[in-house]
Amino acid sequence: MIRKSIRYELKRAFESIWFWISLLIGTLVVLLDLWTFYGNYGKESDAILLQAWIGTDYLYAWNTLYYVLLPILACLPHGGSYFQDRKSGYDKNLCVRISRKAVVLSKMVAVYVSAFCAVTIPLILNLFLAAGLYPNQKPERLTFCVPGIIDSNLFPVLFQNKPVMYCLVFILIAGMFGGLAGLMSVAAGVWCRSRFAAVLLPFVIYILTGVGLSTESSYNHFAVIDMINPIQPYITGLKDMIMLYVGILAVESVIISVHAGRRDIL
Amino acid sequence: MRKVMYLCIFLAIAMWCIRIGRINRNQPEICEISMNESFETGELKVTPEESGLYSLEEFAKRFDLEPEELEQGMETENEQRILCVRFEVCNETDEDISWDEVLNGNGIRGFESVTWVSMDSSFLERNMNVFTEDCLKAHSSQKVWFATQVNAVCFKRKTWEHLQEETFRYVWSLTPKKITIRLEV
Repeated sequence: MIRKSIRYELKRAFESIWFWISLLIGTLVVLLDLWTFYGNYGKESDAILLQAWIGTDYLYAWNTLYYVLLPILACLPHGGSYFQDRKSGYDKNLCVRISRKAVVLSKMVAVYVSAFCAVTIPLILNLFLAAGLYPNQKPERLTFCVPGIIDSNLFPVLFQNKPVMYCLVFILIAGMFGGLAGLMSVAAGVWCRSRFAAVLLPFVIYILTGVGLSTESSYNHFAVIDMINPIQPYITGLKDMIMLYVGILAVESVIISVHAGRRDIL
Repeated sequence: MRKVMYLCIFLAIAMWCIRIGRINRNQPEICEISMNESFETGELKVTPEESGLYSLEEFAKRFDLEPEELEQGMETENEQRILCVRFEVCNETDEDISWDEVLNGNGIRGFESVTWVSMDSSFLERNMNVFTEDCLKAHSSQKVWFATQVNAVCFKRKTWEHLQEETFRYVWSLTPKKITIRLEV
């Protein structure tokens, strides 16, 4: 029953107009970055894939724009649907057919997966297109034309020896945190008075923590906006990232399940 | 109609994959030289002779410098070591070559490991090199040191404690071909 419910929610998420709008915005940003880069460097330059991919392209503002918009891209597809279903009474129709646990679980899975896809598909598309324009060569760090990823940063050996794997790892990280933002939108639906507020709250928290947690020190930086950026402007430990991820996921899961469990739906 | 659309998308992806394969067919050549192995580059014959990774005190003792002098010209807020390499540079032509050309080459030189990179330190090299002529005369040779600071903040604690096990290289040139010298520290 749960599997059927998850399939149904996933269908709702991926057939929603908001998923395609989110994908369109993300795709537009990544294509504009590639366009700008190609416009400046062209085909004949010595540029490599790692310089052209939006995640590691620090020359233009498109990288910053994409990672600032990430929570919005993640929450737009299905993040506000929990609030919407509660407001319209749609969840009552679901609860008479399947258990409350199945409703909540399928909602969380659908939101997470749709957010993950909305964030990762444009990045993968950008990598695929850039790979056909610029060769995948090891970065020449002495030229300072690539991000300065050193031993203290995450995955420095991957960055140097297998640049495409480095890109894919950070696409996965962006997707996972995008999924987390989607779940935050679901949790926010508990208190918010509109779908708009539920979708926007993760973005507001993301930006405020990015600004508020900025310190002069390069270490112990817990702002997600900097953690998930492949340029790695600050030094983050893998343990810190995992702890933050698990912590936020736990809090969101508790909020959603406690609220769903206590709510007088019927 | 949908089938035609899916077929077109599949063909476009396949063609782009072929393009990706073609673009990555030729990888740049990298020449790796070992210590005491000579190589020729332009007008010079170069032989790496000695390399070392020193603490500030060891470095000061090795090159007869005062530690205070070093601290004035270097960033010493974090733990530091100095990585250096000595070359014998021979001018095998009939013309003199300026020290700028000998020391700077095409402009991009430095030290690297898999997870770190650093350009030459002109401050350290000024204190290590002694030139008696104003250029490298024709058919003469000179021993030249290149050095850089290795800063602990660039490494994880575990790597820093086992820094001797890292493989360091000196990048002599990037174009037209990358020439690196594998250092023995």
